Amino acid sequence: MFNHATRTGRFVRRSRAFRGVAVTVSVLLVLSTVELGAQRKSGGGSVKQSRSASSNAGANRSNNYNRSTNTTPNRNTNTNVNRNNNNTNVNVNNVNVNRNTNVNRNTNVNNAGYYGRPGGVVAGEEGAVAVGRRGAVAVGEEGFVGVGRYGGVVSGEVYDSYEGWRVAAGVTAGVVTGIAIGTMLARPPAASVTVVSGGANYMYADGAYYEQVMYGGEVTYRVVQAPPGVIITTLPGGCSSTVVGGVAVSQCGTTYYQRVSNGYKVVVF
Amino acid sequence: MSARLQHTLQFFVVLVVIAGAACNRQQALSPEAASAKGDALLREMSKNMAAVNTFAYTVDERRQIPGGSQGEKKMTRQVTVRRPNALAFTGKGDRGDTAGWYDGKQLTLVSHRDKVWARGPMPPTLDEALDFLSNEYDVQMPTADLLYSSPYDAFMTKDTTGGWVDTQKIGDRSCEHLAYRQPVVDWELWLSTDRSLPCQLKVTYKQIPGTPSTLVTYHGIENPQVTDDTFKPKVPDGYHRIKIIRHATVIDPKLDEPAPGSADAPAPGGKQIK
Repeated sequence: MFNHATRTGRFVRRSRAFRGVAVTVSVLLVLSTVELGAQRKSGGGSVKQSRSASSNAGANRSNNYNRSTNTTPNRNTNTNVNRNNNNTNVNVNNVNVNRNTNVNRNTNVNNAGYYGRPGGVVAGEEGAVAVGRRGAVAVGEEGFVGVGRYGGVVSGEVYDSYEGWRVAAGVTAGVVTGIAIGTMLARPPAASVTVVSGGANYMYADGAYYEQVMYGGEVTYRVVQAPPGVIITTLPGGCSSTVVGGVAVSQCGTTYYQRVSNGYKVVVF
Repeated sequence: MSARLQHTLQFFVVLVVIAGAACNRQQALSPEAASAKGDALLREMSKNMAAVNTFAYTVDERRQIPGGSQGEKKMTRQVTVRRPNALAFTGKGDRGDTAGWYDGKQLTLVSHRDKVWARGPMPPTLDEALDFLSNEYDVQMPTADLLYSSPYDAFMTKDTTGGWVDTQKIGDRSCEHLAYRQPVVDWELWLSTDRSLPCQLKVTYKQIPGTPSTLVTYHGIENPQVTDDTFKPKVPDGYHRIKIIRHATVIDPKLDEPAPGSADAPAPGGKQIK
């Protein structure tokens, strides 16, 4: 009687935001392995919602890794994500050589018509496209698309805290060193400070920037790309000095900072 | 007091206690009878809930997370529903004050604690919207099952077992206690004896570490006067809009097509005729 298959396709938008995401994807490195799990799974849903969540959750929980051998950052306009057992890769707008072997091997299939609650994402020229079991389907206008700085796609789950993420992601074990873009926290890191860019407020802590988003009916903090123009007083650890376009900058992960009188300003080349 | 009199009184007290217990003991039903009685009560409740197009209720929600860092969360939620495509709610609790509106096209959510709001697209009917809320926006409503056009179908599946347990007092109401098991959740529902409407609902999430549960206590279901304005979003001045995060759910329009080479597959170059 109740069809779980909602009409997501109606909400397909080719927005500028997604274009930005596409650019983001093209710039980002997929360097290591991040496990997506151990998040805000405290229940709270109705009986039907719980059944649905359970049947949909598998795709995101099983073997959801990105294993990349890509060592040529900034050269791809496309990233392969989520190759399901019944799926084909969707490569949209390949330019240059894509050496990604970035694969999500999800093997759980939802009979209700969904492919996993947080579907994977492939970046197209003008939008992000989630890959279905047998084809590509787009996400909504303000749909969630996250691509990790250090670990590929992060799709829509929430860690209770920064400390919780550190444990789950293996930071303490040395597997991962930075929080991936798209990761969400129920609350910002305790040490975070508010920074401003373009009239928007962000939280900053330990080299990562967070924006407030609404997720699960609650305000949540999502890791985003460093907003251009933001000034921080101290560089995070692990930065190196370099020169880009004749400008001396500090490179911290994929973020460049230029020394200014009151600190370090995020710059984009 | 003599020892004899004391013994007599003690015997009398014991007798009264036993008699009371016997009176309170409810007739035990066979599993089949309990299942049938529970099913009948559920169907009656479902019929009653589906019969009202506009209704409102207030519930106290307690989410218990054994051993979790968050402990117990409490919230009082007021919900107003107008079938087939409108819902408004407010919430007050440990996670701050919230409000939300669904008007058949959009969902608008407000967090008063953070002074922010968000908006996203929604399907056109309440049944679809309830699924969408959970699957796309991960908004979990423990009372959602009772809002579908058929609550019975929302609750029950082929692998559901259980039935009527007993009659209990929830506050000052006499309520029929039903208990069911499913692979993912166990749930209990208390229905008012006189009207077969929800008194209380408990859902235990068995597949989540710590087996958390949600207990929802209803404070009556009313038939309020509503207008379109009831379901219009009301965002206070000065609130900042933030993005709403939505899962990348996928619908494959070809999901129902027969596999190539199967007996049902159309002949190459031709259309399947049914």
